Amino acid sequence: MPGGAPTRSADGGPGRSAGRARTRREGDLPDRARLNGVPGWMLLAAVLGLAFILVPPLAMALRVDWAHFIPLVTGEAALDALSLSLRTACLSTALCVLLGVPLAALLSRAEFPGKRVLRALVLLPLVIPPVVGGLALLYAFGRFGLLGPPLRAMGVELSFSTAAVVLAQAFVSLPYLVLSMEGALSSGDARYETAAATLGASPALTWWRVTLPLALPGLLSGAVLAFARCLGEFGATLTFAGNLQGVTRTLPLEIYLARESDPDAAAALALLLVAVAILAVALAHGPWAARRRRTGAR
Amino acid sequence: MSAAGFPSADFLSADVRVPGRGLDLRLSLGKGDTLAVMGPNGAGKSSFAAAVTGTLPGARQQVEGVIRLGERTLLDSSQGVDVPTHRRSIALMAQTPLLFPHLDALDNVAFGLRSSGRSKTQARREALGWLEKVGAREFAAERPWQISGGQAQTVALARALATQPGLLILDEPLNALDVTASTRMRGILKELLARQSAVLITHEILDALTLATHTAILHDGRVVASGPTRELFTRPPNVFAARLAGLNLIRTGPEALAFRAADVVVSAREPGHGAEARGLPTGAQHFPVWARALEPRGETVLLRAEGAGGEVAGSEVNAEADVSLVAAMDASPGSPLWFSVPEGALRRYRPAS
Repeated sequence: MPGGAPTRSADGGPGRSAGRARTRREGDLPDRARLNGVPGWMLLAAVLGLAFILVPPLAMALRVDWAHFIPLVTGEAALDALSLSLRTACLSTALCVLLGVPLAALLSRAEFPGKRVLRALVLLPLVIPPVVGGLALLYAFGRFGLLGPPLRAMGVELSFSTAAVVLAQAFVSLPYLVLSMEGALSSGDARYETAAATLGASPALTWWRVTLPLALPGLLSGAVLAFARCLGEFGATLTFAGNLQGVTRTLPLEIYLARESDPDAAAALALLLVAVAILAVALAHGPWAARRRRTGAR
Repeated sequence: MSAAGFPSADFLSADVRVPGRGLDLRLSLGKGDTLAVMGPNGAGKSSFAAAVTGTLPGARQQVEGVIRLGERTLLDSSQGVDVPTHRRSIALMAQTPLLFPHLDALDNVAFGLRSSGRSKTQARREALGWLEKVGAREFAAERPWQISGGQAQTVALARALATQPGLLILDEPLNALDVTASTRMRGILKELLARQSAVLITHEILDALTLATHTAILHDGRVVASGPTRELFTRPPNVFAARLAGLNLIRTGPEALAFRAADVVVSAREPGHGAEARGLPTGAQHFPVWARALEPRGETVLLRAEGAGGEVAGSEVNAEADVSLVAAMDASPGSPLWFSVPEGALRRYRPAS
């Protein structure tokens, strides 16, 4: 890597310099911006793509009635919904970790027939519409569903309860965690585990002291993705858990409801949801991603 | 080939077959001894290590045979005995150090000690002692990516030795190191392997000669030669051992004739009268050969030839000659040449088997 003064080196045809000029105008660190061989036209498309992602939330932020923002998001219904969303998303994420990590471990390490089919099936909640997922959950755990009667015999009533919200969120988010964790486990070097075994560490000890620490960045980013997906869950929740304030009405449901009755509240709450999601991603991704890059560097 | 020539009180005895990899070998080792396992790439050296440690990827169930270490039976496929890797008490040190990147050097060495149930403090204290022994104490607090490859390999050695394994397998431990680091590491190994039963997989005859009392040579998954290291390479029983030692080996009935390629004097004309005057040593033996291939090796050329008559008829004979000499002779494949070997450089003996 030729360190020192970069961008102003002697290369650069017309296309390159044009691209460079654009990055310099946009980036706040022009000396560190370089295309590194990416064609100039891609920069244009990439900027369009970025705008496509950022303009809608920005438009929403502009629409928000900032003068009344605090009262809008601290109404009783709003606070109920926010608190319910945060509580259920945390529980669902925990459930995803509990169920998803062993699943990912088996998919990445174990050898068994039908593994490819199983891996594809795990993605099912990701590819079916959430409403359909909610319906499926209803047929499985609902009062008259497959597992409804035995559950009721044990005194468990799931449908239209907060527990149902957690189930719905975990159902749709599980693939995110499994995918991310399996990726981390598979790209990790299994020879570390062999080394641990020859040093006398049992498979369980090896898992806790070698495999898991090495896959932790993957687990964390998977958990953040799952958490964000839980926070935004709408279709499956509405279908399986219903829409009861304080019990099953999460923030997305509240926003959808307020959209007609109180558009100002809807916009404010929507922005709040965006802020919470960004906060979660930043919290988990910032320091961890930096650390992974450092360890990966050698 | 039997393990004849090995100490009778076998500490390790391995009779392993891995049909899927064409591996079928019997090896044994006395307590505290070091056995070098040599052979070309693909001969089965690493597969043997994996079979003994029980880490053959995805094919563990395919290892057949019996492995005994001391009093313990680690594998007996006919009895369904297959002790898992972590209970075999066999440490493996690979070509790459494989230090755990999330632990510093000290905790890497303490890892095995903690696995055997020691407290964190106790494990760390002992680990520090082992780092001291390999001269890596100063790196105790460093993460693996902060130290050099040679330093990491010494830490890996300390980590393997710290568990005080019944057997230590070293799989080409010096391969990835530069000259300085490998020289230093060889010294450390010489000292620390003195009392440790170990199997050293290597392709360097120097490692075998300096570190191993006994050597086994593998070829195509089988042991083709074995015995005390020095004996094996000074009086090679067959061409496999001779090749590793850089020797020409000519079988003449029950006798064998061995000489170094570097000791051969090459000439284009028959060394008749006045040969001494042309720089040929007195009392040398002269062999007529056909040149087959020229292999440039920097200042010298390895002349691969086929014996054209006498004792060497039909045998492969190699000579290492000066570049300018070979150029002056205008030797090319098919050229008739004479190889002269000084009397003192020629060894005649009866091979062990």
